[in-house]
Amino acid sequence: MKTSVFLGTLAVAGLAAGLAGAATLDDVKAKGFVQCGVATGVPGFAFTDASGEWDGFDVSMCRAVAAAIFGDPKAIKFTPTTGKTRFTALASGEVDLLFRNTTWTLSRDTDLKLDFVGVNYYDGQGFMVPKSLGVSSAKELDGATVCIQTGTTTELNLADFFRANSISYEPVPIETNAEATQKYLAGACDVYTTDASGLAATRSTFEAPGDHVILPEIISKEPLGPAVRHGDSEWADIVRWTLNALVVAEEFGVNSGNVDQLASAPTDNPEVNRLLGTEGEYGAMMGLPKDWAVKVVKGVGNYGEIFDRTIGPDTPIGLARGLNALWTQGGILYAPPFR
Amino acid sequence: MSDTAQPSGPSFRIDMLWNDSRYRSTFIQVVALFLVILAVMYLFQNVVENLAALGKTFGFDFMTQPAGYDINQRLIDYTSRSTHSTAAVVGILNTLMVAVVGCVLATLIGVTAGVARLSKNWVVARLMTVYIEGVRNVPVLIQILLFAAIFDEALPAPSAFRGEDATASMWLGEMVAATNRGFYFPMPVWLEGSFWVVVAFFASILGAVWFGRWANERQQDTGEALPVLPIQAGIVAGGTLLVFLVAGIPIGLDYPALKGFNFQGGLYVRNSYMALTLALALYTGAFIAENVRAGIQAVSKGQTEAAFALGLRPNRTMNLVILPQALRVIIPPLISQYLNLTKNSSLALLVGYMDVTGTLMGITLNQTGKEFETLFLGMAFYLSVSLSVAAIMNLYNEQVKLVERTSAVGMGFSVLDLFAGVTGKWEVLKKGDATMKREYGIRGLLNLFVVFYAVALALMVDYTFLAEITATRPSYFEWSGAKQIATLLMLIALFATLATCLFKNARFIDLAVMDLLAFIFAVAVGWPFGQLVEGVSGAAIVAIGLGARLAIIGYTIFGERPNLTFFHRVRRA
Ligand SMILES: N[C@@H](CCC(=O)N[C@@H](CS)C(=O)NCC(=O)O)C(=O)O
Repeated sequence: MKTSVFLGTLAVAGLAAGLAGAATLDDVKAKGFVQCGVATGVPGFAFTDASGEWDGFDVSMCRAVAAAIFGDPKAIKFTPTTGKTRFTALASGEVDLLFRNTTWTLSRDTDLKLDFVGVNYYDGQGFMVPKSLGVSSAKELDGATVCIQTGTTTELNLADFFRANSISYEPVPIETNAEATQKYLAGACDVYTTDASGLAATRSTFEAPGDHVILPEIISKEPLGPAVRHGDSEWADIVRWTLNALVVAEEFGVNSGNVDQLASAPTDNPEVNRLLGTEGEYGAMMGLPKDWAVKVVKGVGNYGEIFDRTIGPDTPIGLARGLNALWTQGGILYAPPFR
Repeated sequence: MSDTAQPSGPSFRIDMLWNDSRYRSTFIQVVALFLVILAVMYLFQNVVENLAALGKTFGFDFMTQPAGYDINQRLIDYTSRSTHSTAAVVGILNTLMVAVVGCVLATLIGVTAGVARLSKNWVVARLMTVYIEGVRNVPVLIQILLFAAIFDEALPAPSAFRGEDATASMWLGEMVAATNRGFYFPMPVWLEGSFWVVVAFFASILGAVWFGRWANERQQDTGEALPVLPIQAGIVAGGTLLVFLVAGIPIGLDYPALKGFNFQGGLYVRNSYMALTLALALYTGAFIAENVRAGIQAVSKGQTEAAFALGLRPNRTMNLVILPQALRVIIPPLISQYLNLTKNSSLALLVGYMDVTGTLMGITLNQTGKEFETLFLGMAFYLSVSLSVAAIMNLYNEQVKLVERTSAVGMGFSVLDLFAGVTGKWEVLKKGDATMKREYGIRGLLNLFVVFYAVALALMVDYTFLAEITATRPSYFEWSGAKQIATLLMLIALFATLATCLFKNARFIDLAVMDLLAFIFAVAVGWPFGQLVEGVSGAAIVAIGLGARLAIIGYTIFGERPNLTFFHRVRRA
């Protein structure tokens, strides 16, 4: 008995003691790759393809960070995390950053000691139901059984929504998207709720996607973005500006096809020059090579390219740009200037 | 230990600490203890420092904040606005529900399978072997998932019960619905007058027990045996039924019916609970079956033959000769099986059952980021459950274990010794001793004491963990330190006293004194006894609590008893 208490304490202490040092960039450079926390499997966002390679919207953005540091989008390893394990994985140093449909909230940014460095997808929580239920609004869901992933903002929003509308529901807590899909398709729950993008992604894998509808209500704001550990601003800067580079590249028409040519000599547009390192020492300010953004765009494309390739209208997931269009095109994607 | 610490030689040299066998063991133990304390302190320090490096503080304030999430299965009032501490209690109760039902089921399954495996019927014996070996050798995790998958995939969704062309139908004449969300059973509804049926039920149980004792005595005197069990069953069933009819059938049944998305009404047992409990019970039952078989086989065959020679029928031989002896072998491993089941219930996570690992150590941990605090509380919970179960089972084992005639030993210091001058000397007797009588004298009163301690414990637990959190009754984590400590002390003391009293253990008296001290401490730190029972003032509760405790202790020590007290302490005049 005494020993088990002792070992228990030891284990907990070990957990807390295994923290990585503050300088993540040095650690990453020393080990030669970036360790990125992603979802366990959400089609279009983070999934492994037939050959076992990770791919998807979040995955590509994580690869962009590897490309910025090492010039190689493949210098990266992925750790699948569930809604529940992701923050512990980041806090304990198991991963260097989190690119996992994670909503930027105040308490996560402060109390959980994370730092959100931007938003890569503006989302909101939605509901998906089988068409056969004949439901057309979330307010008609009184008494329904709802599948939710635990450890998410989803379950908190859901509780608030049903409470505010004075209707009841039966939550079925679930760990991963795959499990939720299985339960939902088996009819063990009437409704699946998560970020609307996740719903669209999940529905695209169904045999008969047309039999399921996503209800019109979007009940929350879910700005999804990358997170790093609190207290390492240098590392946070790199992730933040990698994301900004993807957006700015799209804004100025820099894409994986023309980036080599644009970077070969200074262009007429100074902002493009600063982005691609043909003017100024912007890479060095972050401890990165001069041509870091070139490698990023070359490796994974710009924001628009990533979007179109992984989740855009021409993919099975078929998400429209909507809020995630550039600010110049009616969206709210707006990166600060490279200067 | 202490008796070897007296230096008896002419001079004491320091090297005698490790060279002299009189001091060596004490010395080593002291050093070891010191090292363990140092290590624990180092680890704790390390944790606090690392948390600080992360910018996190150690504290339980978050437990008083609204949890924000909903829990499907809740045995007490809970909404998403309740605090994290209430969510933790909901989880704890869910864990206990799996543990208690699982242990009962596992015992039933285990005893049946264990006895059946020894059956002379070849088919039955083989079938049990297949069950036991099959289940024991597959990880329980897989079995839980298997049950969950079967329930999810094989049972129909509620919508399949609907409409003209329903593909599924309810069982047992529209009484039970098995869906891929859970099972719905009819639930009793208590109408006016049902109180008296409950009273009648317990009264007839008392009557049946009394009848059993009477029949036993009669058999001792006259040698005539009555069919005790059927008569007892008749008393309970008949008595209850009579009142049930006289009171105008005050207990009805509420049947589940499909309404909206789900069945409504009746008793809803979720599949997550079913899968977890059944899988754990079957798994643990297989181990218990082996314990039972080992216990029975440990009783030598000669005993059976001797019993047969005396003319005992086989089932009487089993009940009167073999099982009482086999139990001694069965109980100790049974304890650890119960503990295993309780700890394995934390696999609930896998099927989304909201036990304490799902609420406190799951969602609360995740939403607040308080890994260390939540895991600490979770560990404390599992530890106290394990220790409590172990304590109860050890006390029971103490009762049934074989006592050899030469093994009577003293039990060290007891409060009784303080009063030896007044009451006469106390001696330890063991069950087998000739002076040990079947009626334990104070035993009947001890059962009354059990009621007192049980009620006191129930009130304390209810107030500390279950009561709704209001302005006048803040969450435990907002109480003052002294009040928190007093609560813990009282809970521990009450539990220990209750357990020893229930099992007529000689330590009862010492624990009753400890409980008295804890109570006095609580009164001294201003524990809010006034809130314990609605409508009863604090002063009254303190007066009753103090009075009853003093009376119990006084009676136990000075009580005018024949010459036997409880269990195996004897007062010599
Ligand atoms: N945005 C919410 C929910 C995120 C979430 O869990 N989304 C699901 C569905 S899109 C997911 O990513 N699941 C990944 C997995 O199953 O591993 C949060 O940050 O709490």
